[in-house]
Amino acid sequence: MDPNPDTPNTTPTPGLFRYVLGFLLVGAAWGLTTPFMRRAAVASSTTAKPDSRAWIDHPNTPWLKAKVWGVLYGVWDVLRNPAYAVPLVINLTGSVWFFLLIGQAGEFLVACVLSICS
Amino acid sequence: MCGWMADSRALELSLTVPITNSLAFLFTVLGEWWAEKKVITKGMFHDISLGLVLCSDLRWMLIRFNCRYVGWYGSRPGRYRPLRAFQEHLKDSNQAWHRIASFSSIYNEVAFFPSYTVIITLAFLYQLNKGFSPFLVCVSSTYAHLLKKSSCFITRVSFPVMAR
Repeated sequence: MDPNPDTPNTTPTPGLFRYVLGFLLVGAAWGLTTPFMRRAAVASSTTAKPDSRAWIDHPNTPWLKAKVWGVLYGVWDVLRNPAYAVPLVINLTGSVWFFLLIGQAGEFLVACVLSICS
Repeated sequence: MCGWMADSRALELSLTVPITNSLAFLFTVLGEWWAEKKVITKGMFHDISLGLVLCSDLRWMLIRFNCRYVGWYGSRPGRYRPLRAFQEHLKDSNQAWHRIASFSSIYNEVAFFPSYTVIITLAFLYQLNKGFSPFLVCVSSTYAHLLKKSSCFITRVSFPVMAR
């Protein structure tokens, strides 16, 4: 229990610069990574496949099995490619950055309005 | 403090998601140029500009230069009054003519602008004719917020520094 309940609980609020930087970083994490992922995916689909996977294209392979393994190998190839994986990780962690950097920005914006109108 | 801050909608306001989404879209345009040297067309640039103007500046300009109240049923000059109070006032006035006229700017005696609804509907029809997609991408999240929280301070929040 707080021995001195009259002490105001002062939590430091980040400033305008920090919020602007946060918005830009999260916007970049979600927006700037997409074209690089697309470029890497297109490049990955055009590279030659190894000989060990020739059985997928064989006529005796069942259609469903070939499709499933084709998708799995495609995902594996793309994720192993750093040109795709690095932007993907940045993009996926965008939500974390969003909550860490600008989770409280709603209150900050309201505070801005209050200061403008007062 | 302004009287309209008593309106509870102000406390529910959160523009973080639409701002971040709009920034993400602009960063995507930048990334397309960086990664693949793609440049947006003139038409798309116009669409984006139109979307940004409609969603951020229009209501702000209307409020700042012409009227204190900009709503779905028209704009009127004078002191801002929340929509609920405005409707109560109309009910109290108990005159059919006022009820009809309140849905246009005739009620204000001076016609400044057509209602925001009319402007945005015309813009949407124009975009629908052209293919719509870039405009929609840019606008959708912000416009959804405007639909939900159509009160006059929305756009002042978008540019707190400029509003000073």
